[in-house]
Amino acid sequence: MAEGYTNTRCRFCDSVFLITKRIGAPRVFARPKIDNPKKVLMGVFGRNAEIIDVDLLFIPFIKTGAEVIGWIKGYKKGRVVKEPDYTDSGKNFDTISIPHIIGAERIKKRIRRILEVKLDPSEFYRYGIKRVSTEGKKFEVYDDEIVHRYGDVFDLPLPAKEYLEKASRMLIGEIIRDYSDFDEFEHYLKTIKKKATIYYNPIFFARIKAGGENYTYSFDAVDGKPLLRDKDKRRKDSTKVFLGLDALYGVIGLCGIICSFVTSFLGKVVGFIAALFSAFTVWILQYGNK
Amino acid sequence: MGISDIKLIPLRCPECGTDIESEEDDVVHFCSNCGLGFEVVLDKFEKIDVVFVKPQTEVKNKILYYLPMWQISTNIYIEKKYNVDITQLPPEILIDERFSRFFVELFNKEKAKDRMIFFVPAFGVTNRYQLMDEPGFKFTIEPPELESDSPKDMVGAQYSLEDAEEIAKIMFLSIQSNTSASIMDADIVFDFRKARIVGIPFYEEEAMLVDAIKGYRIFKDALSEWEKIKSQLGKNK
Repeated sequence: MAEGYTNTRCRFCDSVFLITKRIGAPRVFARPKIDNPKKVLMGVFGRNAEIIDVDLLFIPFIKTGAEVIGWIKGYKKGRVVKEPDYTDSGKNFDTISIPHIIGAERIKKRIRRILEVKLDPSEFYRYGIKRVSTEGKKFEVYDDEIVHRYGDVFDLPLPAKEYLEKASRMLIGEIIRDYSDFDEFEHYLKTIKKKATIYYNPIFFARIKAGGENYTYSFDAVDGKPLLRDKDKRRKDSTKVFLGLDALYGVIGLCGIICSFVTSFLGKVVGFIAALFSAFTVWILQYGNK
Repeated sequence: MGISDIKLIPLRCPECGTDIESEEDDVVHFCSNCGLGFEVVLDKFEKIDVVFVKPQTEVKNKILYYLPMWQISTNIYIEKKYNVDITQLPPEILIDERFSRFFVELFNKEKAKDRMIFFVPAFGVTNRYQLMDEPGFKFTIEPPELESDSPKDMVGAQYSLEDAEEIAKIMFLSIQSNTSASIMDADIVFDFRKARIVGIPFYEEEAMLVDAIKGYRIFKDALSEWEKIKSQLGKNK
């Protein structure tokens, strides 16, 4: 069954059946075909790689399509350039500059365009879902029980209707973007014939240690295509920061000791300033980038 | 227990029980026996009036294919009075004197109210469709006299009435935007009153489809999946 279909024909009795949706957009899922993800990961990272964990996840994405209809109207002033020209004064040719306007454009047209957009609701996390392809895969009507048997299932953070609205804005934006350099621009654009299908395509998401580096890696559990390979820099950097912080906390402690043992006022002031400076450096290291 | 969002119900005419033929992405389904049309809202069939139109041009020895078009009767209200001159109308409107007068008078009257009949193709179109003069637009400017015929096979209605009303608005607003800058911001109220589907007979002529009412042409590839529609409609021919 393909996306957007409203009815389907039975292969056995040739009767037509209507597909009615109970809630929002129809949901479909694909069954995972790769049964040994560790073998795939070893193939990518080598035999000595340590697989910390690997999970099978169904993270939904939405394919939406719509027809954008309406009209646009705009005007681009262009720019004035002076081109050399010659006048014949009788005796000889004089060079003069004649101003020309180039790049001026006036548009006024009706719009009727069929467009598609793929939305990744997990945009705040990195799973590489945008790279999942639906081509050549067999999708079945979503069944909660079956997908949960295979792995963890993520829910859509927002109702499907909101994604349709977002898709509509994106599709209209795609048309308007072509005229962003126009000085005057007016439009009346609407989306009709909107359709959306929520796809649950299984992916393997793994954390791996290879060659002294930590990686996160995801690949399609149906066709095996790699989706994401991220070197985990954050952990290394944060370790460095925390080592630096330990030394600074040490300095603050030492300053405290100096302040309590030194009797002279000047010595106490120097110890206090050193402690204050270290505390400030700690604060910068910890929160400065945020 | 597994939860499915999708339910399958047999596509049979709720009036006469005949199996209905329909394309995969049709939103209106037509019974070739009793000639009724149905939109399915959730699990319910909602009846839509359908009229099949008799050909008005010479169609001897031609195979006719009926394609659906929405015919929407609409009241248009414009509160303010404008000063629109007939010469400001775009050329595609000026060719029809009756519509040109109607359009100008609508804008040049205070609290204007008039009725207009829109023809909007319900058949699916491709991106090529916008490159040509559409029959829906031409039928709207110059409405044809329609003589009803017996029920025929018809498939391919991909636009719901809601979508068709939006297209009708755009049709009107694009004439407005092409007329005069002074009426660009005019506040127009569209009150869609009655709608039905008209089955317009078309025949093939090389790469084109010609309507057998006024003889307007459209490219076959401007229709979404014409070959599929043709094979579906050609089953009983």
